[in-house]
Amino acid sequence: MVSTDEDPQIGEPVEAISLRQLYVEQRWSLVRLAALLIHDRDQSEEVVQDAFVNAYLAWDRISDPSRALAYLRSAVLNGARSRLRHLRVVERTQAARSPDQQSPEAALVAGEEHRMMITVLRSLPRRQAECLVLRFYLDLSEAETASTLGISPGSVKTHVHRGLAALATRLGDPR
Amino acid sequence: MSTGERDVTTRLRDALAHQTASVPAPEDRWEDVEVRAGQLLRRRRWNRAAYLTIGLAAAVVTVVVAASALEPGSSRRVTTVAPATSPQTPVSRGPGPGPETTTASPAPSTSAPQPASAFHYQPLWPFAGEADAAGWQARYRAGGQQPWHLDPATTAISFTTGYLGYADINLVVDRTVGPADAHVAVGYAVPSTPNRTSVAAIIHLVKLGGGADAPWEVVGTDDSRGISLAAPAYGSRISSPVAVGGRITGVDESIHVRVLQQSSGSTPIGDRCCVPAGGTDTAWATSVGFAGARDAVVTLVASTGGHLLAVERFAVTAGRR
Repeated sequence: MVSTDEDPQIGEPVEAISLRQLYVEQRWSLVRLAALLIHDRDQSEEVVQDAFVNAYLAWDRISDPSRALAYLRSAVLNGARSRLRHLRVVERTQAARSPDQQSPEAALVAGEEHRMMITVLRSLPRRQAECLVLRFYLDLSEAETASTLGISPGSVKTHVHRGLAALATRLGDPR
Repeated sequence: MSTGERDVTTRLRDALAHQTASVPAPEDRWEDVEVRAGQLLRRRRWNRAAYLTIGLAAAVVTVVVAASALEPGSSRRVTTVAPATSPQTPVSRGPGPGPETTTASPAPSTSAPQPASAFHYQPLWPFAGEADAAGWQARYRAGGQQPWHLDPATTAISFTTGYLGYADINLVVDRTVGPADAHVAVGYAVPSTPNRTSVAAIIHLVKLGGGADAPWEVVGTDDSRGISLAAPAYGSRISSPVAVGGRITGVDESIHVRVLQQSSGSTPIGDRCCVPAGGTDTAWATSVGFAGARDAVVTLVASTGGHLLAVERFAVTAGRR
């Protein structure tokens, strides 16, 4: 992310309110997005907090408010990647733990197939998993997914196709 | 989409929806966002003030030293940075903006060429030194060859797209041009966002040689885009491996360092990829080995990107063998 030349002033009413509205309306959705990738709710919330802090500092550059949500999603994905790298290092140094951090209540209600699907999804290459989550959880178009990830729509198409094929194969449903 | 793909898609949607349904609503911690942003802003402003103070102090010291050194009777000249020690090698090579042209040259300066002033910077590109530039100047006066050397913006873009190999950094976003000194902001069109550009670096150029038709030479970048390359010190002597480092502001950055020399064109003689970094004005450091250095001056470039384009920002410094 590019640094700003001009700092925003704390308490600027219009801009702060707009970002505040985004925070109120979107933070839960963004936490869910992060949770799909890093399977740790506390870490997911911190990733989203970090994303909003960065958006606050970069707000003067997000001149188009409609771009702000895309900026936040991109920041959440970047933050999730960083946390994931850190968590993997931590996991290597700790005793074996469940691959899924669901609560006991959630684990009870989660179907076996759903758990399998999420486990396989998290084992895919990072870009494939991100493309699948953006396309089929957030229902973003190929163009919107490409813009969020900073790659071409053609690459999105390829990642989605390969990701779905890998899911089908690993779930025992070869096409 | 095939039937099987649709089936997997449906199951994936169900699984994603099921997984996220168990994520509870997070607490409203907006206050924490404001507090942390405020702390970062204060730190950033304090850093700016500190840098400004240090810069002013250094400027005052430089002026005082220069004034005393240039007093009548003084036999020494002031050299605040290492003087250029250029190998007098052939003229600009590498990717210039198009073939040499033989269009009629502008009228040469009617005044005699000024004696070249001491060149206090390191000549990075496209000329290896003052003699190299003077050679081009003579050919230009004779036949109008490669007039783009007279345009700082074209020289800056050729430097980024050609010598550095950053094909996407192909826009001049802004420029400040003085008689002997230019700062050209180069950047790129932000993907999927019409009419938005982002600055990747501010290229510093100076006139190399004397006369109105002295060509422009890239001598470095201004460290103003949230990435700096402070080590090795500009113009210092380096050997392989060289410790490099600086500061960076950004999220999930990945710093790629390369060592280039003019005689090797855009092929790096040293490469280090990549150093993970991030934060606000955070220090980063690594080392890079290089081999086959022949030129007196080598270019060290640190770039970062990956969010929108492979390269979104970069900084350059010069080392001497």
